Amino acid sequence: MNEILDRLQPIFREVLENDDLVITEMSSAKNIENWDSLAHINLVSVIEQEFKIRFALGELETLNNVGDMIELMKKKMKR
Amino acid sequence: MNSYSWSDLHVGMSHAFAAVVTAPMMCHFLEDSGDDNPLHVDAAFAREQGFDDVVVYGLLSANYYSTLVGVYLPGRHAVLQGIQVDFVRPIYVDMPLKVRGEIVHLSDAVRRVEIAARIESDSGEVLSKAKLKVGVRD
Repeated sequence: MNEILDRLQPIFREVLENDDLVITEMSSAKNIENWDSLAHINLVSVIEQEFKIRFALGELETLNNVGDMIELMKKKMKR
Repeated sequence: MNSYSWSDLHVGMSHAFAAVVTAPMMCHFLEDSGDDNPLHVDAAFAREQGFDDVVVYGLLSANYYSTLVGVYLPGRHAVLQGIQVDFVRPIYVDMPLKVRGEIVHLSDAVRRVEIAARIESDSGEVLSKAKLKVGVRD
């Protein structure tokens, strides 16, 4: 999981325009500044392209935090 | 106007159209924006700066990226969410232009397409290039 988190770190910093941001598995839109709805769309799009995966419609709505997203990403990257 | 739905769209889908920026368009942009920088209104000044003539406002030429998205690809259901644009070479008044765009990524989960777009001269020289982020609501 740490390897994925390490790769996500610069993506979040760039998209959320915060060079000092440190994300953890518990990070979410509720506790990260600037993670608004448009930033969310940008994050999803960049993550898909960086990791060469695709999320399906509705698939992200049940996720609570970055840790949940990483678990979903791991499943997709195994396919 | 095109009216592509999400299910119609795919990576590699493209569209192109011809365009030209005219002198009246420059005047309207000057009036609307208030940008009276001499590079855009004073031919002698522009030539002193090494250009052939007054240079078309970058954001005036970029309006064709709005047209590309809102009228053609995907058209009616588009919501432009972001543009990253580089003005590579100067565009001059009455220069024949070709505006091109190609879908390079689709995100099903958030209904977002990304389009690689560019404006070229009639000889194919790239004058401007852009990454367009477009939501699709159908």
